Amino acid sequence: MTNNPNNPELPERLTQDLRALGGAKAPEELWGRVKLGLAMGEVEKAPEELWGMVQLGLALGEVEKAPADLWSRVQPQLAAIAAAEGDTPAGRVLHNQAWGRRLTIAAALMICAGISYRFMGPAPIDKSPALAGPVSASDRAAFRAKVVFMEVSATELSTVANSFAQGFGGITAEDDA
Amino acid sequence: MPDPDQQLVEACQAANEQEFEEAYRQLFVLYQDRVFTICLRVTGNREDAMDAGQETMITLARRIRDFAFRSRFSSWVYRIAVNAAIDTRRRRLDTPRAGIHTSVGSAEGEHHLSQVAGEAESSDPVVGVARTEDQQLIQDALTRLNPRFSALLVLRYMEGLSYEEISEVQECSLGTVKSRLNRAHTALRELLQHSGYDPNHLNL
Repeated sequence: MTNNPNNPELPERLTQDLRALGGAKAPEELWGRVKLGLAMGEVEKAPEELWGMVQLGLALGEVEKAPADLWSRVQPQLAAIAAAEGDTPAGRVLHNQAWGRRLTIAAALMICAGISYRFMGPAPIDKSPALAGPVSASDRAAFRAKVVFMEVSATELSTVANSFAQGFGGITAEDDA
Repeated sequence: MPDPDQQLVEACQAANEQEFEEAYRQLFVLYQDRVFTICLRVTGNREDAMDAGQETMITLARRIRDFAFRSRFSSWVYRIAVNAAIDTRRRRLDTPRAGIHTSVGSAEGEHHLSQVAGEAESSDPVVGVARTEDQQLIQDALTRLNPRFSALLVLRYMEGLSYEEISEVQECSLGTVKSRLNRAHTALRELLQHSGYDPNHLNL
């Protein structure tokens, strides 16, 4: 044992008590447990071919990627499902993509027309009942020249759409009549 | 200087599968008590010591063919045993065994000891190996100390290793060993002062 004056050892009695705790006897069953552990360890050893199996699994992972044409295969089936669900009039409209597009375009056009007329029209419309008269043909022509124009027969529009059209200065079903 | 265990180790390394058990059994017998002592004193209870001892001996058997005598074989055995005992003790802190209780220690004292392991640590008394009450108090203190310090004290006092041998086991410099041992002494004495250990035995 090496003693160092700069590193004082423990008191003599404490050192003796510590030393007395040494020399414990290993129980008899320790060898049995070690033998069993070693035997089990051999069974648990990974097989040599494990890396090969992992590599194969990784390679198969690439095949599992979705093929590029998956969407084109799914789309017809979706259309069939939509058609089956579209037996009701509302269903027909909601499930028909062409109708959906038309409705969207119509709504966008009406909003654009309203905004354009509000900011680019010839003069603000006087809302006063006394002064508000019928829209002149020249005003109507000037408006048509400034906005995207799509002519629709008044009878093709619903009551609500006619009201919108009237609000924007269009010819209503009543005018047509 | 040749390693005193060289012949036995080489016999294990040269043995085929059928011969290995017999060759290894001789090394096992040579080291079983030393390994068990380290595991018992660091973990503080027999069951954990058996687990750690088993782990040590199995690790030795599995890795003995790779041992290249760059250090003494005994240092390698001690290192594996110390690590297994510390790991077992830490695992036990995470999942304490049912029914284990803290056997000794003043709570007031523990709060003042920065180098003492966590308060949740428990130990069951090591029956029949601490012959006196003072020795039992020391064993309890060892299970409350930082496990690295406990291992250091076990190597130094129970196994009788020199500073040089400890530095080989712990793979650190001589200065580090001295410094750690000094801190271990201080921590042990502080713990014992609050444990009921005879204060006259703590004076240098």
